[in-house]
Amino acid sequence: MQEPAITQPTNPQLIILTQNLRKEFDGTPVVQDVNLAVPQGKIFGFIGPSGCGKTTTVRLLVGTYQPTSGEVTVLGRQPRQFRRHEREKIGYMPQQFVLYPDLTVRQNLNFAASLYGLGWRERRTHLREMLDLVELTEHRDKIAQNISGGMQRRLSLASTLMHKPSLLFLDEPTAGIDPVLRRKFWDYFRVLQKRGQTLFITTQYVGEAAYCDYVGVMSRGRLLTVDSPEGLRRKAMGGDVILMQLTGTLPMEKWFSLQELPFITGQVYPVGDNTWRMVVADASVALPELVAWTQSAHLEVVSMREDQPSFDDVFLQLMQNEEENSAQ
Amino acid sequence: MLSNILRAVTRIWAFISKEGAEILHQPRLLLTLIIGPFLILLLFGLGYRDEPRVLRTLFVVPEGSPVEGWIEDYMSQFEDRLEFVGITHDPQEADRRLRAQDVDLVVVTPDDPEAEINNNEQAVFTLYHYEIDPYEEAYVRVIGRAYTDELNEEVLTLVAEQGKVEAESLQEDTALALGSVSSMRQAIEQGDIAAANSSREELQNSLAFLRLATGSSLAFLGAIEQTTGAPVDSEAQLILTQLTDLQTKIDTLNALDLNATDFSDELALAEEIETELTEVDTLLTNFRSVDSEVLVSPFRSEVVSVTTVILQPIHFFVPAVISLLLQHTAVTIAALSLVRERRSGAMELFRASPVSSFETLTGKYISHFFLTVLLATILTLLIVYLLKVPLLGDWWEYGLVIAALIFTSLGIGFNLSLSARTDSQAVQSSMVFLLTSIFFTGFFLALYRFWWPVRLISWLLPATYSTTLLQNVMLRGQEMALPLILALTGIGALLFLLAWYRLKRMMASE
Repeated sequence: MQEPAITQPTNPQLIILTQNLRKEFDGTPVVQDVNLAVPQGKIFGFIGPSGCGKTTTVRLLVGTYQPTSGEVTVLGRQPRQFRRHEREKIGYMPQQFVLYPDLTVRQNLNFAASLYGLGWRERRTHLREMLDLVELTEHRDKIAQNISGGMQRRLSLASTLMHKPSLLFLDEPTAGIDPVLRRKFWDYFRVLQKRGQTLFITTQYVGEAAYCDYVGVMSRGRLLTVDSPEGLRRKAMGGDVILMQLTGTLPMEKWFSLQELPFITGQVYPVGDNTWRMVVADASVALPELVAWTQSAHLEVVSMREDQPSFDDVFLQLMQNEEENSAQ
Repeated sequence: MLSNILRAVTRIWAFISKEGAEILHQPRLLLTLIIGPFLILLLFGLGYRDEPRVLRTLFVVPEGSPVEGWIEDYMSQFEDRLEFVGITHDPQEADRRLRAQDVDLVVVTPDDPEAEINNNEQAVFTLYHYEIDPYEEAYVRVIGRAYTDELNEEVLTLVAEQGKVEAESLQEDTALALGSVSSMRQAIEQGDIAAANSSREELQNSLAFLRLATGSSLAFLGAIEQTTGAPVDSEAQLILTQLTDLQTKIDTLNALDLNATDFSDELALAEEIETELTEVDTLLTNFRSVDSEVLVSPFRSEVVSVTTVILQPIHFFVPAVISLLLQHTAVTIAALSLVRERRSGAMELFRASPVSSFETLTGKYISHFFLTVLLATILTLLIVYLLKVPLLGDWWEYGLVIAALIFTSLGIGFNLSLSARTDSQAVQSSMVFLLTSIFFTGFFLALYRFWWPVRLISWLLPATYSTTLLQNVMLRGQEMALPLILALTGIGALLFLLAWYRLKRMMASE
């Protein structure tokens, strides 16, 4: 029998690899030029606004869609050529609640586990464990349609985890749930990561990027950038951001000389209340030098600290950068 | 290998248990599925009445017609089929009442039936109706024919009775003729030729009178017997033939020559005439003893069924109703099954999981099969033990037919499901399929009534096979016809393969 073509990643640690991945529907590109490399055991966050192509990308990765062009390799094999044992290693949580509203929590979990061929004993053990993990043990005999939306999301997650997959694709698992539960979900994901599972998570909540090891930012079908959350922040802002508050105003000539300092990489501008914001290459290097400069300039400093802009700001900045690049 | 098989079985079981649990969590649905069909049958059984329709009948009789006198009495013979509403002399009033559906039938009697018959014409009773249902129209025609047949029979019976009265007087004349021929023969033997001649003349006179008195009734009856195909040697015919023969013989009996010495020929002829007159007398006695109804209607038919039980009209419909109900249930459940998975997004989950199209379909087939079998079992027990519908054949064969019906119907349902995009489309498809089945499975129109290409459609429907098979097994106690059960199962197998192929394509990557 002919062995199907396998695109083995050069780095065996890379569990997902795509090259120029493209998907069109009726000639309209929905995903284009997506290049991804996801290492094993990491949480990969896939962030972008609604309709940007996140779900399509996930479907390409789990094999329910075939790419129009480009290459995709998951677990060392093209998804459309997945064999049973490879599918058994994958867990997929769709965006919508697709379980059965007329079944109980336990019956839904049993069904999901049985789809992956888990025997009765395994199911029983896993069921208990997953119910504990998502805190649904008390609700196990409730009909799924009678539990809250948050519980339904937890049930979906538990059913995805029942067969203990090594690679998880979670399509907007935190969409439409309250911040407390969202936080809880990310706690679960950390637990799973510690167990060695790789998680590919899409989300509309930019702030959730902070919980990921790597973040891919998607916009209008294109992957803008992939980096660590910190790297992403630096990329968006052009470096680290420092906030400096003085007791008085900053004279104009000193403002100009501050901008001329070698460690300042971006603009220096006031943000109110005698506070100035500046972008530096590396905050840990820049901060002592900035202190020295204020002393030499006879400026009295109230506070000086590195600022962590929110990922909302980071995301907006990235979008803005993208628009500027497109315009050029 | 074993592990793979066990995992496949587990995946199939996932669907079986899931579908079962979903049904069990909807007790109302379960109750509707079981009780609903039984109630339909029960209502059908209670409501169906095998009684002929009584037609409200109005007679239009011309004023002064002799018919008017005997219509009401005569109608009493038809009171189970015709309700006598009245007699009118106004045809327009009758027409108005018929169109207003105040009456069902208007019978216009002939003006003067006796005169028409005497003119060698049939007297016509015209029956008017306002039916649009072809079956009701046929019923009116049958009633009309039965009515005139009965009338004709009645008239003939009256004629026969009259004939018997005439036969009695004929017998008296025959006795006289016999006396004359006997006297003639004795006179010849004694050589008293003058007395013999006297007796011969008496004989010729009495026979001429006999011929004359044969009677119009007897002659009429003889003619009727000929036209109705009665045996050539029927009583009236024989009497008429015998009398004609006698006349010929007596005509040859010339006056005896007083000078002649040898009268052996005349003696022999007299003996023959005597014998034949005795036969005529016997025939007349026989004729009088025969029942007039037998004379008028010498033949009748009797219909005897060779089935071992008395079947009620509802019994005939039960196999068809069971077939249609089970087929519809199986088709609808299956039609909704896959389309719901698609609509809910569960199909996407299956596509990403290791479950195959074969496992998905098999699991669903098995779960729906057992659910419908459970329904069929309860329905059958209720029908047989509560409604007392006979199940004369083998229970296993009955079960096999039901199993084949459900299997094939599920195949239709799954294929409909794979074509439908929404629940309502699936339900509509199954309803259209039910309608097709009601018309073409022989439920209320026998298959032979259809043009042969349409009959091919009938034989594509599972209920056509199961109705025929169940009627034979349940009501005739026959063994099931192997070609039919094989054909039904074969269609089921083809539908399974088709559904598998289509589901496989659906579950493949887009």
